[in-house]
Amino acid sequence: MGCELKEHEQALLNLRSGLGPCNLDFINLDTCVGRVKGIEDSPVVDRLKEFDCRNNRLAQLALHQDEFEQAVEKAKIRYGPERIGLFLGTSTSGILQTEMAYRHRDPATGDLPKTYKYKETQNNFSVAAFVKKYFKLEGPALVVSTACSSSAKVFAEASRFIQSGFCDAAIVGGVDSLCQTTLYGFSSLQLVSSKPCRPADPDRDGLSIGEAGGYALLEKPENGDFQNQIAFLGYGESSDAYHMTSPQPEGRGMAQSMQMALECSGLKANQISYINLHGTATQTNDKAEDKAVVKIFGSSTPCSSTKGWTGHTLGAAGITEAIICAICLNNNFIPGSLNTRMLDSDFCSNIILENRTEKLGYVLSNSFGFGGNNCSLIFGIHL
Amino acid sequence: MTTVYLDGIGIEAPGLRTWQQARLVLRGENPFYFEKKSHPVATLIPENERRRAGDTIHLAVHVAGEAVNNAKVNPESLINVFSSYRGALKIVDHMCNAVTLPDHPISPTQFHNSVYNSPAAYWCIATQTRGPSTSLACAEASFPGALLSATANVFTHKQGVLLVVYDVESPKPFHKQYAIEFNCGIALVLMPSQSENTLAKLDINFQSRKTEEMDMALSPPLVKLISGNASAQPLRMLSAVASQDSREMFYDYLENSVVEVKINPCN
Repeated sequence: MGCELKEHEQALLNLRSGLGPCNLDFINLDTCVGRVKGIEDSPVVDRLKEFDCRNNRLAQLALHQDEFEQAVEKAKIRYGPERIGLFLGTSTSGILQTEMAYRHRDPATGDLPKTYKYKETQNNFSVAAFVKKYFKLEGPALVVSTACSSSAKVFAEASRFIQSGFCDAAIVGGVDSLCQTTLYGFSSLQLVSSKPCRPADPDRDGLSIGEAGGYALLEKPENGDFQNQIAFLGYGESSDAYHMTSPQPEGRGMAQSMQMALECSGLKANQISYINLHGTATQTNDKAEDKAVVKIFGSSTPCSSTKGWTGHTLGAAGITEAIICAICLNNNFIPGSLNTRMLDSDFCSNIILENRTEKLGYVLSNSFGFGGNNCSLIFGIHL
Repeated sequence: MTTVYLDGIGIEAPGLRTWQQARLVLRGENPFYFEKKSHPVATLIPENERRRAGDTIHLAVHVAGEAVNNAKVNPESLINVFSSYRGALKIVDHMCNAVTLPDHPISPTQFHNSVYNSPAAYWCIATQTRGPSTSLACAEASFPGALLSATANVFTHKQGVLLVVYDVESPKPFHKQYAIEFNCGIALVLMPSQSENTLAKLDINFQSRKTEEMDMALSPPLVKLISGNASAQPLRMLSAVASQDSREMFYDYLENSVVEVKINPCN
């Protein structure tokens, strides 16, 4: 969809999707992807060159946007670099680097090339190590890797660290990038669509996979004047305890996660004016999520999936959709369900097909991952 | 300082097969023999899933089961925090190999088991645990990082936490870089209040400074075990628990920071 909030806002308002035919030279699959432009031409800073890989390039590209760097530098002065936590989500980190290294193994010994850096690229902590060094932060840092809920759960993790006094402010975010194992892996499960994904459509036939990177800086409301800024108000987390790849069919865990987010924020279901669905456009996810939404919110709360714009950005989906919720709140805008031609007649939730303008109070965002790992977040405007 | 209570321990490492047996070794009452074989089968996992599960899943679920048993708690009441330095590197090896072949034959089962949170997910399925579950990565500091997260969970939610760290032997292509030569999994049940099952009171804090001293009052083979696998790090702390010593120790956490742990045995 582009860089910066502005471009995302324009893409949402003008129904411009970020999905296009897969033209990556390392993927041979008839599908559409949400590919970020310019990664190939943006190596990581020289002083951290051992971290150079597609995922960390995307991490760096994202932190260059919207004066985020300047905001972090200000926070470092205000709180001290040792009092800022760093919590990032990713599902596959820099695994593309390992995929490439496997093509260049020593034919005699099977050894990986000497230039390959496991710890700095493929290891799941790599993106946090990179961002921590980039900003010279000294506070606690962790990567959450719970598949597609990863970068929603970082908000919960950061919130607990602040509440426990382990840090005073936190950078949260997520980065996931296109790679072979993810695309061919989802394809092996027959979960990838050949067309741009169509959430909640009766003919939906799977995901479009995307890549994304994004961040947010979390501060306690008493630490400044945050009037009219986006407020993070609550989170809910649950497990399906059902199956590795299929959600519990009645949406039991999904409903529990939304209910917990409401309880955490102290809000009632009827105070939520928009739900950004996980809405992956697989048969099973969308069906279970519809049931879960109806169970907690009934059939009137407007909801939609924005995966038709972004594709499923996996470990970055949580932060991507948190930021989309922020755009919605700032513009009093509800996105429709891009690419969806009609609604599955079995669905009972109020899924919006066309963009609309509406005064928003509080919004909820869902992110659900493999293994039945669920997370819901609630945002509003700080008064 | 945030206080949590250690109520249960599960362990599987070379020469340390259960907490009951490891306790005597850590107290110095029994000798330590490094026996590399530590490939437990997690019998808690239903048979269908058990066959599909890989080494990280079996290891993590096995030690989690022991810790929960020892703590005499219902796993459904616990929040999960799982952590690993490497995750399922054997599956990464298989998948990265598969994508070099014509038609990139990735096995769907391997693909879903490759997600970093699969050990926690299998645990939830096996025990019908439906609460929050987090899977963390923090490189060599996967234990101190997860300990902070577990402590923050106990403090915030006033609920017990099942903390599991696990790492397995690396597959061959990774032997030259950062080889792990043996499996190790350790699980701890941390509670918000003291009970008759409490083994130790732990006061935990994050500090931004360099470690000054390493307090290794352990035998050299145990020190070797601890330095050979990031998931063996809890053994430093558990040696004090086993010996019923009050101790303060510092775990290296990233650069220029430590996780401080004050251990006060309770029984």
